[in-house]
Amino acid sequence: MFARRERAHNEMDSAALAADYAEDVVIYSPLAGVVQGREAAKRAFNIVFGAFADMERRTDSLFIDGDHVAEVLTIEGSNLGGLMGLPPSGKHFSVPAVFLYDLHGDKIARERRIFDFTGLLVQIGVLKARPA
Amino acid sequence: MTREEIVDLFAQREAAMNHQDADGLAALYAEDAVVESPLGGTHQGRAAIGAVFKAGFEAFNDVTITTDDLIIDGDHVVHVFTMSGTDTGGLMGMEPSGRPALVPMVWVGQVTDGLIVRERRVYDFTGMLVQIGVLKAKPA
Repeated sequence: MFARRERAHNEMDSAALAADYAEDVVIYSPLAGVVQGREAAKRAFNIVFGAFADMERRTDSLFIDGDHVAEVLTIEGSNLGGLMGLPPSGKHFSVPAVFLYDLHGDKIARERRIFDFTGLLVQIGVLKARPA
Repeated sequence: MTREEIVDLFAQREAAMNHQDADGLAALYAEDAVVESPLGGTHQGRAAIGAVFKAGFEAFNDVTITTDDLIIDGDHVVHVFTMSGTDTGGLMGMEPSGRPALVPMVWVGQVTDGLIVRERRVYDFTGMLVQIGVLKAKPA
């Protein structure tokens, strides 16, 4: 399932990614906020793929404990489509991330994403940061 | 290690974190353990790991963690928790800001013979620095 999802992600296939979610999935994402439901998840993927048209992810490790899964990955991309109403900066980002999943049957019922989101925004130029 | 032994090891770690016990924490790591951390960089060895914990507790002397989840797959352990603390002592040579931080964290570890041998820490480090005022961020 997770190998298939990595391929679907790298092909920016939001429909295939959404198909793995339960109808009432809840996703906690620093970028998208709390996303509830399969259709909302698909829309959120489309927004991300619109912002980062060259986005790629590489799974470094996958840990499985019953219905709980932790995926350690690296996400990379360039801000080619703009984000949060801002014009595209063209800047590249690369961040390590951990995505946590709760499975119910063969569907993902809950997903939580943890990574240096603020650092990502600085890398792509949406935020400027300087020492206080 | 059995699952119960691993659960106990990480309960010990949570207790040591919540008592700001750098020596107690260092004792949970192997002599040659390697930790990759946004705050401490890559550091190797129990003494270096203890020193990074000590520096963290000097900056955040009220730090506590609350475990959200513990995912155990063989000898790999994914510790998901929320860290809260206040910048009472200063971080990275800065003056203390007195500001609080609340940060979800994931520490991905490997255990052998009752000790943590490797660990990689992932969290919104930049966001934490903004929360405590070490960095100022504004829209570009």
